[in-house]
Amino acid sequence: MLPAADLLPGTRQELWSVASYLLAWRLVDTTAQSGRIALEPGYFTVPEDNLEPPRLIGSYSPEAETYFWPRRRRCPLTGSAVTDVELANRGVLYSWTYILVPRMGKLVFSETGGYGVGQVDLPEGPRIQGPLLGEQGDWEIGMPMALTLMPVGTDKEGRSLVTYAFEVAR
Amino acid sequence: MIRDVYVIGVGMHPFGAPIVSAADMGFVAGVAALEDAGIAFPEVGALYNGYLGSGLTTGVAMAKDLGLTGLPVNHVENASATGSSAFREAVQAVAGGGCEVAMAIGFDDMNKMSGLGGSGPRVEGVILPAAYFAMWAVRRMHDKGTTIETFAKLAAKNWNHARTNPYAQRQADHEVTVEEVLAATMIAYPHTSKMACASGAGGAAAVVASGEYVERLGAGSRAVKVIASQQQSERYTDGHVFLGAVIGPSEMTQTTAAAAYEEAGLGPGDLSLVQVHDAFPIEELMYYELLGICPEGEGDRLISEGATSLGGRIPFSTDGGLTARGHPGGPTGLAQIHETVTQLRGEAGGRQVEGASVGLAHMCGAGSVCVIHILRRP
Repeated sequence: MLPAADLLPGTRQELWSVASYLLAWRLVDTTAQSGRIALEPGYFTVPEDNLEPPRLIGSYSPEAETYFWPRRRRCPLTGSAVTDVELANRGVLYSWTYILVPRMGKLVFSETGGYGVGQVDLPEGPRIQGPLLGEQGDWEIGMPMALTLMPVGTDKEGRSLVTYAFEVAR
Repeated sequence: MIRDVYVIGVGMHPFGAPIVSAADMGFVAGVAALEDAGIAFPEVGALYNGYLGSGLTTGVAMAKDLGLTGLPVNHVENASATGSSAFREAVQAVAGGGCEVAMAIGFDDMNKMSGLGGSGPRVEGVILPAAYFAMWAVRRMHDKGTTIETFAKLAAKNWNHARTNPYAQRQADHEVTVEEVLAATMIAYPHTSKMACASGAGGAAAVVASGEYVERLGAGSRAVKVIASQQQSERYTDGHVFLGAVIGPSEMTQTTAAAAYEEAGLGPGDLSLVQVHDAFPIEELMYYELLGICPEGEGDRLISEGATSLGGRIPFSTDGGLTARGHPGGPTGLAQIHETVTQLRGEAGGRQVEGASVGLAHMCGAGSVCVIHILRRP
């Protein structure tokens, strides 16, 4: 059995290293100074220029040569390190639905209480699930889709909170 | 499993609108299971309470009213698969030799829960379970030509199965028709409210014991053997959805079932009845194929032929399933064990599956996990 005094410093160092990494992982600043802020940080960029398209922030595993979204702490396939990467903001619609009775999450995205939800396959591989802009009837499987941002209320300072969404690519 | 495990008692508190607290319903179910087993609580060597939304320490506090015997009491939570996971923990406790008798009690009131990941606005908050399974359905309609009528027929089947189940939340006073299911409020295209599982409150419990204990008790004629107990979490698949996936890749059911069939030493053709996580009809339809009951793409035919109805070749959701028996959360998986044991004992009355000998119970839980048990009659 190792003496506690020998074990502890190394263990502490390792724990601190993991903690620092996780802290940095959590604190990636994706909030622009444009008056719009992300509903939650770390999932997508909020460009200062409203006309510039947002990007989803994912992870790339060089060892597995695989992309993931949202970001991973480690590669789920190999356990190796991953790097942050901005993913393509266009993809192909895999499936969709139109929700009329919100039950969980308590976010209602239109005055009628209905909103679209879809799954979009990005060219890098990840399948992204999120809200769709538009109405039922607008979507067909296989359609090209584009990433955008949609308002979901305001924070305590009155700034516009946004989350990512997809719309039919023009 | 290192040694044989048997279910010797099951009990339920009816599912539906809560009259008493969720823990009270768990207590009622627990007492009913002990009475069914014909034993007293001091015989129990380990207790696993399954609940999602009843609050810190609720289970261990409820257990005080069963008896201050000093036994280990644990809280198990695995979303929809909570009750199945609590049951599996009880099975493992006996199988591993930790005790001779163990118990699982599930209780919950779904209407008091805040939902996946809390109630505040979150990126993931927009993806409701209803949306997730609706997207399975839309993709299925695109790939295999499944119709909304097929979903409605499947849901109507489960509503009608529940008509003879006194514990079911939805007990229609008439034969529920396809037209009625289709005419209900649309909640997430293509699913209507009558296709969605009933979320209410309830309690369910099971007592398991070793073969030696069953022999000592002289309970062999009513003891139902657990011949497989398997649980898996996600494996990476093409198109893996990490955020808002609710229950991850559907292949998880296929791989968990394969492990369960191997453990039980049988195949899907040997099953007499099946309970599944039928939160929406698309799920039950896909599980026909993923559990190996029919080849991929042929699930629709089982519905049109009535093969999975009571009286059919392989009845599914015999007590009404999540659709009509209900899905309070914690007790749901244990209600499946209650139904399977009742059927295998030949005590299911008006919904009895003739000659039932082997039953499979399947649950998926958000996060996600899949739990499968296979039971064999005495």
